[in-house]
Formats: sequence, structure tokens, C-alpha cells
Amino acid sequence: MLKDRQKLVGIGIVCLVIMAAGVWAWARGYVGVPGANNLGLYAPWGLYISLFVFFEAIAVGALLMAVFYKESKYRFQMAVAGCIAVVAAGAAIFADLGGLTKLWNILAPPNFSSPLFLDVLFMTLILIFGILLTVNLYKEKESNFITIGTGVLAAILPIATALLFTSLAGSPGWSSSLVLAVFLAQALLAGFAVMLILAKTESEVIRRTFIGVLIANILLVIGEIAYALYSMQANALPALEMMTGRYALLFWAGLVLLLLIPIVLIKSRPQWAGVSVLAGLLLTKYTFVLQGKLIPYIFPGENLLVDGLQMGSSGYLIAPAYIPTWEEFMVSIALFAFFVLAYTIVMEISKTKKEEVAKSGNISA
Amino acid sequence: MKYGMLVDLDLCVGCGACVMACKLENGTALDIHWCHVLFKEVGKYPNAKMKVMSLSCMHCENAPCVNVCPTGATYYDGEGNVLVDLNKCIGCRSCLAACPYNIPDICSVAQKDNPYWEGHEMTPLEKIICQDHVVGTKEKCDRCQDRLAEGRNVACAEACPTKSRVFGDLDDPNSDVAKQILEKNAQPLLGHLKTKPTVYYVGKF
Amino acid sequence: CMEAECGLIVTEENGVVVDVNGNPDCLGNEGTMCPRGKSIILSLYNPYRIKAPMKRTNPKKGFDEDPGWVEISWDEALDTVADVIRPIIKENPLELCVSCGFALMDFWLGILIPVVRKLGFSFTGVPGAMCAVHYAVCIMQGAFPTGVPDYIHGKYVISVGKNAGASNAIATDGVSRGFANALAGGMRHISVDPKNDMDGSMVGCEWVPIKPGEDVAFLLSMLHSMMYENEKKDDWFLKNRTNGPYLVENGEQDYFRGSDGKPMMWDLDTNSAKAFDDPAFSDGSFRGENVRKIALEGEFSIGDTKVKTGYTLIKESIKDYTPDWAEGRCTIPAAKIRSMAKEFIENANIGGTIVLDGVEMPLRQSSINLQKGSCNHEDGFTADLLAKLICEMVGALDVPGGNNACTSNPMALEPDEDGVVYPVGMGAGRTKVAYPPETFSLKDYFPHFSSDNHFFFENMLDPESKGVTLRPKALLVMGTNSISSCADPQVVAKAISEKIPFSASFAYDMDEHAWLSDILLPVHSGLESMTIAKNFGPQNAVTPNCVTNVNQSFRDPVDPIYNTKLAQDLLMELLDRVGEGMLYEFNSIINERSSLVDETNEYYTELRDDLKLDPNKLYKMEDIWDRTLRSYYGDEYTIDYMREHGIIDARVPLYESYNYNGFPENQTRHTFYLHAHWRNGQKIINGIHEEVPSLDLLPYGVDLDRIKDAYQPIPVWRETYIMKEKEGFDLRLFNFKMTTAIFRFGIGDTNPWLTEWSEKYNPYFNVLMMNTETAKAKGLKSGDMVVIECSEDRSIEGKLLVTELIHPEAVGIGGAHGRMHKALGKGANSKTLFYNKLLVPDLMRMDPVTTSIEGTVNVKVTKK
Ligand SMILES: Nc1nc2c(c(=O)[nH]1)N[C@H]1C(S)=C(S)[C@@H](COP(=O)(O)OP(=O)(O)OC[C@H]3O[C@@H](n4cnc5c(=O)[nH]c(N)nc54)[C@H](O)[C@@H]3O)O[C@H]1N2
Ligand SMILES: Nc1nc2c(c(=O)[nH]1)N[C@H]1C(S)=C(S)[C@@H](COP(=O)(O)OP(=O)(O)OC[C@H]3O[C@@H](n4cnc5c(=O)[nH]c(N)nc54)[C@H](O)[C@@H]3O)O[C@H]1N2
Ligand code: SF4
Ligand code: SF4
Ligand code: SF4
Ligand code: SF4
Ligand code: SF4
Ligand SMILES: [Mo]
Repeated sequence: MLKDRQKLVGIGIVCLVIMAAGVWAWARGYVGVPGANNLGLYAPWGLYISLFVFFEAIAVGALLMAVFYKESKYRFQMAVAGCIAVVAAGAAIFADLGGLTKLWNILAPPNFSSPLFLDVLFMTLILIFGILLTVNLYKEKESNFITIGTGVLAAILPIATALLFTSLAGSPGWSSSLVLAVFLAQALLAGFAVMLILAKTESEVIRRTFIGVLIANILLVIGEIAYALYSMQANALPALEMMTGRYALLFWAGLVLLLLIPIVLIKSRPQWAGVSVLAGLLLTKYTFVLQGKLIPYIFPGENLLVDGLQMGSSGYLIAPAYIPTWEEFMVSIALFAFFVLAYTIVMEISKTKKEEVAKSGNISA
Repeated sequence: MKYGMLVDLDLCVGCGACVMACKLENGTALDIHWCHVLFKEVGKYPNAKMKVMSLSCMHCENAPCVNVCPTGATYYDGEGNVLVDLNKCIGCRSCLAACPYNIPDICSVAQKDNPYWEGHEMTPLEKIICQDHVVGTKEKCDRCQDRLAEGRNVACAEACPTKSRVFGDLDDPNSDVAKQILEKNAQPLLGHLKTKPTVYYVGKF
Repeated sequence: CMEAECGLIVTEENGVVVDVNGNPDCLGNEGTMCPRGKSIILSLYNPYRIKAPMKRTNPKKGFDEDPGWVEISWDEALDTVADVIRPIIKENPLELCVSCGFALMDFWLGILIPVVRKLGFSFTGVPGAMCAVHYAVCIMQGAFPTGVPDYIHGKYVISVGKNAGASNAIATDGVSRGFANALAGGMRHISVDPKNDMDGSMVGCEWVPIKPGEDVAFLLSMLHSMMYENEKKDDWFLKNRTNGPYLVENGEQDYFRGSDGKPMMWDLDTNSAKAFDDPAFSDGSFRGENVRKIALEGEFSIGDTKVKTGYTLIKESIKDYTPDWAEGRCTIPAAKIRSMAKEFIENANIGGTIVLDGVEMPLRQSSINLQKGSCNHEDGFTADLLAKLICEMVGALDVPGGNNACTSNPMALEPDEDGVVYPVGMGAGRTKVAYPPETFSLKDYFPHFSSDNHFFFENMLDPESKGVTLRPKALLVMGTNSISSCADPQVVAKAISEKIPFSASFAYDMDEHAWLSDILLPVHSGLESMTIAKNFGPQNAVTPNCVTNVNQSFRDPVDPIYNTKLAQDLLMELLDRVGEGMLYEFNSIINERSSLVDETNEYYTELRDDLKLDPNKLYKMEDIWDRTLRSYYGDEYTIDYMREHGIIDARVPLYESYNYNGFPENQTRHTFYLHAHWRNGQKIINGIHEEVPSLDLLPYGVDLDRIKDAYQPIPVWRETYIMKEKEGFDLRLFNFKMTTAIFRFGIGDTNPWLTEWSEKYNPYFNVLMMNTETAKAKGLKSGDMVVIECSEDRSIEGKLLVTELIHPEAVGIGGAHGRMHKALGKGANSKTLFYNKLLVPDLMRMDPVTTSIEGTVNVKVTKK
């Protein structure tokens, strides 16, 4: 008993320290210490937005699990993980902004044509529903409105986000028509991954559906690659560049971790399969985000010469390598720390509460 | 009143005077150019040619950057200009990702931390001309608002040694720019995207 | 910059200069500006400026020696320099060396040149030994500095090693605008150049790649094709306006002269030789008698002497230089050369005329124009002369539409006693042969030098072997960079640090000269300097903006931000302190020949009697300019008038700006048979025979046979040093100007804006250009760091750019980049492609006429 109390405190302290460091690192980038942030013309979005879509996928997946996988003993955990992931995703967006203090402008007046606004809107809604769901699950009662609502929102969110990317004419790398499906499928996969990691005992059902989802994902990826290879459109070039160019290693590694290794591990080490999926998901999201403006000047065409840019395998210039600054890395780690910390705390509280309830129950009995 | 510009690539020599003019007028930080020039080569030796294109914000009438801006920081001023209200911009960079012409940029370093002369203090010049930039906000051609206010020509067009940049009122059929656009049958870039730029181009890049 | 007199409007905001704009009322730039001008404010606030007078405390001079500067008072600074100079002028003024250049153009040409000439100091000008663009125009068109194309009337313009206005040294004097508009109006431009840029890419432009250093072969074959493969030529022009018909006795080189000593022409009506100015030849009008009468070609006998026309001699001399032969050298396909020759003739509009302001003039619309790219070679003078001959074939010299001297001057084409245009300036020869030599650079033996800059210093290292008895005592540097802007900077630097006991610099920034100086006399930056400048004709090309433009412009200076002085005032104060009647001399000179022009020293104004200076009084330049203005324009045109108006808008009618109008029809003749050139050679050869006791006393580099060979009256192809095979050194490196970095002055190479933008967006900036195929063969790719090694084991390193826009046997570097020291910060240091470091001058390898240093280097390029 005492032992894991200390363990918890330990985790708590470590996480807090990391988070503090993260905040400091973030502040450096925010006030524009030279070299602390390296985004601009050629790389509008980077690590933070990758984490946003990553956590969002987890959130969506986890909540969908909590909603639909009624048999599970772990619905509560999934719901909690889901909610915290939503918060983490939101935090990632905020970390990415250059003018937090002016945030309220998003609402006054809201610009409904802005995908980012819609995204934030959906995330807020899903957070509310998510929390209500969690509370219900905690109280072990079911409100269809909340459950279904969460489910629907969770299904919409990744699509809204996908739209955020695909609708950006200026970033051909995101224009593939499959992006929407991919986002949803990856979210599901993430959900299972979380489940596998949290579920100490593994059930045959999960495993089978998990494999099903994996296959769905694989098919989509094949679809995208085929599109990149065979469509004659310049818009497919960034994807091609991603597979063959500078980021190829990351790209393929991401797919292997996300889709292949899990198949191998699922039987022997289901938890590791889950971890592998999440790792793969992170890489995949990262390369996806970079793909958007990987070829900054598609419209002026080939043989362009800009000293700052390198000639890519496609004959088009590609954006200079985006390597996150150490500040950005620290902030990202802090986000994970937050996730762990928040999750442990919530779980602790609920556990102790349940125990108390249990106790008092006994007495009254 | 609808401001607009003509860029005649048949006259442009790629000298970069427009770039420097813009720099001086707007005091943009190192590596940030509201106006720049792209170079490319077409054909194979010995029939190879150099091509140049002077490029700045197209001030689209249906601007992706405006559509995606969550805060309304980027807006139409009703005179053909797409402007940015730095007090509203939260630096989300949706506009960077949205602009098909790759125009907007983000101010990531304060001038005092990265002065023009590396390893030296800010010069009196930059103390004055670089004031209006806010770290973490959008950077983009504002059609030299101060100049327009005084009824002057925009800096890039005024400087252009070959007068390949022509600026003026598109609504006024007698304006130099309107006349030349008609005469030379100038077209906007990426017309098919329906962004309706108010900047027209002559000549192929 | 030194080229264009752009009217500018400078805006100050409580004491800080915040804006500079073109003056829309200035005829030259019409409110436009170039990137250098738009970023010039940074040169005012340049942290590397010299902010106060200083002296060095560390006697050891060298680029890795800290001079140990300490700030001193103006008094101490000026007195120190004056004390050094005084004894030198008493003993031998020649041992006081003065060097000046583009950074102080107005000062240099306005007041320094006459003073130096009068006071007899040893002078060396800009590092223009890489700028040998003056000989042919001086000798054949009676004008300085160059001959330029006509973008108003031209239809078919060929540039050989010259930027036409759309690429390198673009200026806003109208050249770029004129060029672009002419092309839009249907003009064709052919750029014969190892690399292509907008000059060869814009609408109506064509690029004809040539192997660097092979221009003579191309030009010879072009002339060959015109003479042998095409019937059509401009007989009217050749017979009336050139010495082509002049008779020369077989085996002789001088003209065949009649009893009265006059050159003779052959009269076909009477089949007899008559003096060139014989009444029989009087009708030189466009469709006049002479076209029929005068024999241009042929061999004739006068008694038993056989004579040929000059034209025939030229024609015979180039018999073997066929396009097919040339192709093997310059790599331009023979067919291409032939078609160019044909098009050149067809587009020339031979026989056509145009009426300008009521005056009828010939209109010729083809021209071929050279500049330093093709002139800066061991055989550069030949190329320079040949281009003029090609123009003369179609009558396109100094007429509307053709190649025109860039100084409009009614007396330019004044004929000498032989009826042929008087050579001026570098074409006339500026020095006399002397033994022992009275110059450091031996220019006693090279009177037609464009600049002796490099040898001036190199010869100090071992004067004995060069037979130089002078020993440098002190050096004054004024706005030039004899070190980095010229060939072989390390050698020049060595001479300055080791052989010149004292040197002082009118310094703007901590450039190489400043670094090696004993005393720094800080001068104003451009914007702080009051200056006065006058347009005097089309400087880069004939365009609407400059051709009729004789604007007098004025720069109203901003307040200096440091303890600096105006160079002119500084010089006067210095002379005053030197004493020895120096100031008196100076003022007397100014009284005779003050100047309102900044870019040539051809024009002078004598001060009106009531405005003359008191020779013993110390004046300010502002006062002198005020007097000069009033003497020239009349009393209302004071400095204050200029302050108010900025410009005196003065124009000449269009016809006047074409020098043809000074001596129309057959009132003068251009050199076609290169007699004037031959005569120049004779002066040297005779000089040597008279002055030098014995030929084996001749210093190294002064080679009688070489001189004889060079000064033949006919064009000859010669194998130059770079043409000789050099094992492993398979590429020819060349250099070209870039708009952003034409020179180093006006912080051309350190300006953070220009550098930052160019490095990011201009792919040709600060890289070595190499052809795609060549790179493939060498396994190199864009972005590679490469080592460029020349056959004299020098090397530089830099980034490679693989491009289609360059000749496969050539590699090119743009801009005047590279510094010998690190004292100017990143902007200067980041530019490692220090072209001049690879140039290894040798008196036996330079152009024996213009003393131009070979601008092409045999190199090998390897991956670092
Ligand atoms: N605005 C402005 N204009 C200027 C000046 C200025 O200060 N400001 N400076 C003036 C001065 S001092 C000068 S000397 C002139 C120089 O004027 P240019 O001689 O035109 O100067 P570059 O551009 O250096 O050289 C012209 C071309 O020669 C080519 N070239 C190099 N080697 C060879 C060769 O072997 N053969 C051939 N055919 N071509 C070759 C180069 O590629 C380049 O394109 O510019 C003048 N123009
Ligand atoms: N690589 C290369 N070398 C060249 C050429 C080239 O095209 N490429 N061109 C050649 C030709 S054509 C010529 S005519 C010569 C010209 O050569 P120069 O007349 O020597 O001109 P710059 O090279 O500009 O040297 C001017 C020096 O003055 C300093 N300076 C800068 N601004 C100012 C100022 O405002 N006042 C003063 N007093 N000094 C200042 C600069 O630091 C620089 O060291 O160069 C020749 N050298
Ligand atoms: S200033 Fe004019 S000519 Fe020069 S690059 Fe800009 S648009 Fe082209
Ligand atoms: S060009 Fe780009 S930045 Fe400018 S208005 Fe259009 S979309 Fe916006
Ligand atoms: S960066 Fe600023 S201007 Fe651009 S979309 Fe975001 S809030 Fe709007
Ligand atoms: S209009 Fe003004 S702000 Fe826009 S590019 Fe031109 S100079 Fe720059
Ligand atoms: S640098 Fe020369 S061309 Fe450019 S603006 Fe100044 S004077 Fe004109
Ligand atoms: Mo020059």
C-alpha cells in the first residue's frame, strides 16, 4: 500500500518538473528567442500540430471505445484517457499559437468558415460530453443522450480536423481525398492501442476487431500510395517526395510501427502492440503535417531555383528540413508528462473514492 | 475604389529593387520579404533561358487566408486590399498554409534580438522602421498603407527600374494600371483557384 | 554608384534618415531606383565605419596583426600626414603615391586628377586593370570612356561580354528601362557570353554561348564572313567616313603620301591617286559622287609603286579566319556566325537616314558592343578594335542606331591633319618613354594603359629587376581598393605593408587599405557627402532617359553622424598644412579647371574672374562649387538654388547628342585601316630607341617584339597564355558583375539586406556556376562545397551551382566579392569566392596595349 503511494508521488514530482521545464521552453519560443521556434513560410506547422492530431486521434479512439465497447471493464479508464487526450490536444494547439493573449478574438465574432475555429468548437463540445460520460461511467449509470452524443462528436472530430487540412489550397500535400477516412481509421486504431495498453487481461474480441481495423488502415495507406504514384497531378508530388525523399525513413518507419509490427506482437505482447501503434501514429502524424508544404512552390513549376531550398527527387524544390528545436521537444515531452500525471491523478482519486464508498457501504450493510 | 497591380514579366529584369524598396518601406526582419523575386531556368543548354518573377501578396478578392483566419485578423479593407490586424492575430498560421501563392510569413524574432548588422546594436534606422512588427504574428504585404494614406505610389512599383510593376485603381478605367491590364490582356496567377487576385501578370514564368 | 546620376529624395525623421526615394522629376531615373540605392541607408549606419581619426600603435602591418588603433584629434592626424608628405614633395614628388577610385568618384575626377598631374605625384587609379574598356573608343571615336549601343534606334544589337542592362550592373539611369522597352518594341538582342541571364532571356533576346577568352576568333570570323561571304556593305560610310580607301604602299605600313604629305585615295573616274581632301572628293553627301568615285578595294600602281587600299589590306589580313576555323576556337557553330553576319548586315538599314530635329542623319540599326568581359584579355585590344571595324562595315559607328561614344561632345570626331579622328585619352597615349622609368608600373612603356594598378604595387617588391629607381615613401588611398579589387591581392598587400613606409587612408570603413594604414582620415559616407554631378551622355546605352540629358544634379548631404569630413575639404586642409605652396597650386588649378562633372575628367569650367579663388586662402568645397556653378550657368544658379531645386534640368536636342553632327558626311574619318594604332606603336618603339641606351637594359615585360607585333595596322589572331593546354586544368573561370555587388563601394559586398536577400533568393549569388553536363561528368551537384584551383596553385573555395545557363567548358563567379581580412564582419566574410585571388598577373601575359590583366583563368574544380 505505502509502496505505490511513494511510487505515485514519485511520478507526480517527475511529471511536474518536466512540465515546468516545458512551460519555460515554450515561453522562449513564444517571446521569440532567436532559434527557439523555426516555423515560417516553408513550414507553417510542425511538432506541436503533429501532437495535436496525435492526441486528438487518441482522444477520439479512446472515447469511441468507451462509448461502443460496452462489455469492457475499462470503459471508465478509456473515457478518462479520452478526455485528457482532448485537453492535451488543445494544449498542443495553444502551444503552437503566437498570440495567446488575443485568443478571445476567436469568438468575437467567430469565423465559421475557419476550420481551426470549427475544430476548437468541436473539441470543446466533445470535452464537455466526454466529461459527462466519464462521470456517468464512474457513477455506473448510462445516459443514452450523453453516450450517443459523445460517440457522434467523436466520429465527427477527426473528419473536421481532416477538413482543416484538406481545405487549405496552399498546402497541396494535404489535398489527398483519402485523408478524411485515414484520420478516422487511425483514430480507431489509436483507441484499440490505448485499450490494449490499459487492459491487463486481453480479450479475443478486441484482438480480432483490432486486426480488422489494422487491415482497414493498411488498405487506406495502399490507396494513398497508389494515388500518389499514378495520379498525374502535381498535388500528389509532396506525398511521393515524402515516400522517396528526405523524410522517407521516418515515413516508412511510421507505417511499419503503426501497421506491421502490431500484427506480429498482438498475440504474444498485446501491450507492446499498442505501444507500437502509438509510436507509429506519432511518426505518421508528424510526416503528414510536414507533407503539407513540403513543396512550397508547386505553382511556379519545375526548375525553380531558390537558394534556401533544395532540389527534391521530384524535380521540384522542397522546403528545408524541419527539425524541431530543443524547446519544441521539451514542450512536447511536457505534454506527455501532463497526460500521464492527469491520468494517474484521476485514477487515484476515483480509486480512493470508490474504496471509501465501498467502506461506508459495508458499514451501512 | 479598388487598388490593384500589374506585374509585366516581359519587362522585369529580376533586379530586386522592389524587394529592397519593400524592405525599406516596411522594415521587415532579416529573411522576411513581403516582396521577393523567384528565378528559374527553362530549356537545356545552349537554348536555356533564365526566367524571373517578382512576387508579393495578390490581395485576393476571395482570399483563402481570410477564409481560414479564425480571429478575423486578416480582412478585406473594402478597397481591394487584404490587410492584417496584428492586435487580433494569434499566430495560428492557418493563413500560411492556406495561401496558394505562398505569401504570408510569420514574425518569429524581435528585431532587437536579430538586428540587420549581425553582432551589433540596432541601427537608428531599424529602431524606427522596424517598430510595427509583433513576434508571433502574420507578416504580409500591406500595400504600403502609410503611402496610400498620403496618396503616394507603393514603394515597390515606384522603385521598379523598368516600370514592370504598375499600381493603381482598377475601378478607374483611365488609370495606368487598368489601361495596361486591358491592353496587355494581363491575367491573375492561378486563376482556376477562383481566389480572384487583384494583381495581374503579363508574360510567362 | 559611379554610373548613374539618379535623382534621390532623402527623408529624415528627427535626425534619422529613414527613407530614400527616386526623384520623379529627374529625367534620368524618373523616380525609379536600383536595389543598391534602395538599401544605401545601411551604409550610413554601417557599424564598420571609421568614426574618428585614428593612428596605429602596432608598427607591424599585416592582416592578422591588430593595428592597435587609438583615436586622435584631427590636428594630430592631419599634421602627422602633412609632416610625412612635406619632405617627399621637396625631394621627389613621384615617391608620394596616391590611389583613388570609384568610392570617391566626384572627388577623384573632379579635383584629384588635375592636382596630381600638376603636382606630379605618382598616381594609380581604380583597379581598372580589370576594366580595359577604353582603348578603341578613344582611338577611333575620339571619346572616353566607352562606346555603347543605341536602344532608341537600334534593331539588332549584339553584346559581346557586356551587360546590356537587364542583368549585371543594372542602373536606373534608364539603361534597363530603355533596354526592356526597346525589346518590347521589337529590338533583337544577341548576347555573346559564356553565361546567360536576362540579357539573353527576355523577349527578343538570344544567347550565343562562347568559350571565355576566345572573342577575337569569333570577331575575326564575323568580319571575315561580312567581307568574303556577303556582298552588301556600307560603301558610302566606308568611302566617306573611314580611312579604308587610303592608299598604302606594298610592304609599308604608313599611308602612301603625296608630295604634300597628305594621304591619298584612288579616283576611279580619272584612275589616279588624289589627296584625300582633293576637291574631286568633296561630295560626301548620302547619295553623292564619292560613292562612285572613290576606290575602296584594289591594288593600283602609281608610277612603279604598287599600292593597295587600307580596306584591301584589312580584308587580306583576315582571309584565313573563316567561321569554320573560329568554331574550333570559340565553339560558336560556323553556321551561327554566318547567320549573325548576315542578320547584322540586313538589319543595319544601310543607306537609310533619319531626320532628328530637322537634321538628316544616317540611320544604322545594327551594332556590336564590347565591354570588359571581352576586353579584359591578353588580346583584348584586338577584340575591342575589331568590333569597331564590324560596325564600320555597315556604317554603324557614331550614328543614330549604331555604336556611339558614351560622351556627347561636338568636337569628339575632330580630324587630324590626315583627316582621321584624333585619338584622345588612352588612345592618344598619356606617358612618354623614359629611362630610367619615372613610374612604378613602367607605364612609361605602356602609354595606352587603362590602369596600372596592380604593377604599380607589385614592382615595388623588387624594383631592381624592373629597372625602377623610384622608391615609395608614402601612400595616400582615397576611396579605392587596390588590394581586393585588383588581381593578386596578396602581392599588393605585401608591397603596401613591407615596401611603403607610411600610408594614410581617406577611409570610410575598415577595408584592407584602412587596416594597413598608419593614419585613418575618416570621410563622410555617400549620403553625408555633398556632391555635384552632371550627366554628359548615355553612359550604359543610348536611351530616352540619358541621351539628351545633361542634368546638373546636386546631393544635399544629411548631417554627418560621426567625426568625419568631406574628402574634398580634407584634401585642401591637408595641402594647407603641408605648406610649400601646395594650397596655392591647388587653388590656381581650380581657378583654371574646376569641375561640375563626376564621371569623366574631360569637362572643365574656368572660374569667372570675379569668382576666382584667392590662391592663398583655404576654401570649403561648397564655396568652390558655388563659384563654379555661377561661372558656368550664371549667377542665379548658386548652391542654395541647387539645395532648393536639386537639379538644373538641362537638355540638348537629340541630334546634338549624336557626335556625328559635329562632323557630318565626309568631314571626318574613322580609323578602319588601323593606322592610328600602328602610329601609337611607332611612338613607343622610337621612344625606346631614343631613350633607352641599350635594348638589353629594357625591364622585364617590356619586349620590343611583343610591342611591334601588337601595334600592327591590321588585326591578327594570337595564341594567348590561357589558350595553351594546361594538364588537368580543364575549365576556364570568368567573372561578371552583379547588380547587388558590382563593386565593394557603397557597401556593395557587406550590405545586410542585399546579402540576405541575394543569398536566399538569387541562386547565382555567391556560387560557382557550372554546366549540368560538366558537373555530371565530375560527379558534382548543386550545393557541393568545391575547391577551385588555378594553374598557378592558388585556390578558393565555395558553393557550387549546377545550371544550364553556362558554357560547358567554363565556370563563372558573379560579383566583386572577397576580402583579405575579417574586419568587416559576416557580410564580407561569408563571401568566400574571392575571384581576384586566382588572377596571377604577369607583364608578359597582360594586354601589351591596354595593360589589361587577363580576366580568364584556367582552373580545375574538385569536391571539397
Ligand atoms: N550602375 C552601374 N553600372 C556600371 C558600373 C557601376 O558602377 N554602376 N560600373 C561600370 C564599369 S566600371 C564597368 S568596367 C562596366 C563593366 O560592364 P560589363 O563589362 O558589362 O561588366 P560585366 O558584367 O562584369 O561583364 C560583362 C559580361 O562579360 C561576360 N564575360 C566574362 N568573360 C567573358 C569572355 O571571355 N568572353 C565574353 N564574350 N564574355 C565574357 C560576363 O559573363 C558578363 O556577362 O560596368 C559599368 N556599369
Ligand atoms: N572581382 C571583380 N573585381 C573587379 C571588378 C569586378 O567586376 N569583379 N571590376 C573591376 C572594375 S571594372 C573596376 S572599375 C574596379 C573598381 O574598383 P574600385 O574603384 O576599387 O571600387 P571598389 O572595389 O568598390 O573599392 C572601393 C573601396 O572603398 C571602400 N568604400 C566603400 N564605400 C565607400 C565610401 O563611401 N567612401 C570611401 N572613401 N570608401 C568606400 C570599400 O570598402 C572598397 O574597399 O574593380 C575591378 N575589380
Ligand atoms: S524592381 Fe521591377 S524589374 Fe526589378 S525585380 Fe522588381 S519588378 Fe522586376
Ligand atoms: S495572396 Fe495569399 S496572402 Fe495574399 S490575399 Fe491571396 S491568399 Fe491571402
Ligand atoms: S496567423 Fe493570424 S492572420 Fe493568420 S490565420 Fe492565424 S490569426 Fe489569422
Ligand atoms: S506594395 Fe508595399 S508592401 Fe506590398 S510589396 Fe510592394 S512595397 Fe511591399
Ligand atoms: S546605385 Fe546607382 S543606379 Fe542605383 S540608384 Fe544609386 S545611382 Fe542609381
Ligand atoms: Mo570599370
